[in-house]
Amino acid sequence: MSGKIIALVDCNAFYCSCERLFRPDLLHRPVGVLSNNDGCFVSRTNELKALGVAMGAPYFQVKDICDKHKVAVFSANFSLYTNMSDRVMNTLFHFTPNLEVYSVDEAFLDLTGFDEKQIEAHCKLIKETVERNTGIPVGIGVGRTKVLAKLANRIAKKNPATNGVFSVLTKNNLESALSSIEIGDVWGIGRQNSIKFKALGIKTAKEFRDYPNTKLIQAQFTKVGRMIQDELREISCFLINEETPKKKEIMSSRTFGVPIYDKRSLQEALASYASLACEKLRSQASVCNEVEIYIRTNPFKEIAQYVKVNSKRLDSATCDTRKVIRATFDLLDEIFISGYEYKKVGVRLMRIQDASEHQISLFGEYDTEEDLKLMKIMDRINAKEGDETLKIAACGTNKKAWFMKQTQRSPRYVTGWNELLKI
Amino acid sequence: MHDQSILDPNSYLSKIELPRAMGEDFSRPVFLSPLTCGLFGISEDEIEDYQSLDSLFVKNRFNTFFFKAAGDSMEPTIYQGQILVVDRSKTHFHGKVCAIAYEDKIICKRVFIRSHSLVLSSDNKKYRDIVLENSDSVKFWGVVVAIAGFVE
Repeated sequence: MSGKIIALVDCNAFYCSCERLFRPDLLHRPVGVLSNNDGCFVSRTNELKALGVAMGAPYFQVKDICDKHKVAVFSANFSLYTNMSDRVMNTLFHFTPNLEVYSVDEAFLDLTGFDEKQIEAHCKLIKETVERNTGIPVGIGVGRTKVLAKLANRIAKKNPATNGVFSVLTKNNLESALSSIEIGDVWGIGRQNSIKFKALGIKTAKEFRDYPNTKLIQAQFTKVGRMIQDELREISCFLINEETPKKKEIMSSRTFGVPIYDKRSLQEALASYASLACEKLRSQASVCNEVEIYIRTNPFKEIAQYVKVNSKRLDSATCDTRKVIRATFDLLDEIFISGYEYKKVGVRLMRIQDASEHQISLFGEYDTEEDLKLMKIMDRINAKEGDETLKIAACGTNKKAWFMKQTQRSPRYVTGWNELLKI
Repeated sequence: MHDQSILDPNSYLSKIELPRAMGEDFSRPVFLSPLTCGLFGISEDEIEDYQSLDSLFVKNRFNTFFFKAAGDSMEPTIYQGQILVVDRSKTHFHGKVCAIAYEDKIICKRVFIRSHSLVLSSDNKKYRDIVLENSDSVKFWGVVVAIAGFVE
């Protein structure tokens, strides 16, 4: 059988690999990268996984293990990771123009038309080229559909005998792969659903593929469940989107370095996150119709807890930072209670539309030419002179008490001139 | 209007009567098509970008990294504080100045590949060559393709 050939290229422990590239001394040491504000592990090398440190494990809970085994722990250095991601994706782009950047460390490649006997050799070449040219190790899985490529990739990653490349294009490989993959590890199924699958007697990907009652699947797991089943049957349902879809929602939130008690500081934080979110909104030429904020205390601390979400529809769609900030302040007024130790706030922009197609409301205060011009100039200055060169005064001017804690961040090897590695 | 004049040659080759002198016919054709009075020959097609150092030294943007030179072991080729332009996509190392991951560090040396050994050589003869029988402890990082720096 011939047909489509889809490859999933996935970077191994991506953030950790970025750190290792500039630190050869870490090649055989366990490495971990923490989320914003040094909270939880978001990337782990195999050596760290072997120590039993789970994905998302709070650092303070496993600090003893880390100290004992000399784990190299890093604060997230996102400017490094996004730059390295761009290098990987552009290197992949040399191999096919039909490429979907699925996440910062994963891309689907459409290799339809290649000689199938040569496909593993070709993928090996892709893997070697990416590793040599960017320094980031990758694994590649190949199948007829996205779900199967993802499944093959999982085997390439887990099974050292594959040398990081595995294809399920042949019947033999496909059958053995499907029976070895647990239902919960199939792309799009997840832990929650796997319990429901087990109730139907489905434990592996193979059992799911061969489950005859498709109506029941559709009833229990919606249309998406049926599509995943079809993808396992080598019927392509999820296509390669070459264009990154515009974000339907934009979220900006951080945990504070120190707890915050007063409303004024929360307002400054909200204003800053709203500014970031609006900048993203404008960069994709969109406007939003709804704004949501949330505030919360530190759930890991034994103190009085308070979590609250609040949202509102805007009078008219906007991308004007000032209007969004005003909305977040109104929302905060409604939910703020003093006396709590606040640890995190977030801003979410919702009901996003293309700026060109949004409906102008009859009575709303829509963005005027002047508003848009001002925002454009602000974005241009900030792009040229650095973030926050020009900002709305509500963001505050103090050296942000609420700013991120990043005690173990590596240098900006690839994005700053002052932090070049000396060799 | 212009279209019409092209179709009908007589309309743009109309004649103007000039004063007669010495019995000669002075009438000449007059061209009514527009005539540009600026400098000839400049069109948008011919505008090129400014020269850029990137276009010369960063041939493979996605595979190029910068480092800063430390120490004097590569003098007189490289001086301390200069910026090294390192291209990872290069595959020929022999005789080239390379960035190399060696013994826990990234170092800059000239590489010679011999039949039974690998030589990491300093251009500054004050320093001894490092001769390696087995290249397991070495990982090529990239080739130094250019050096940049300010003049003191």
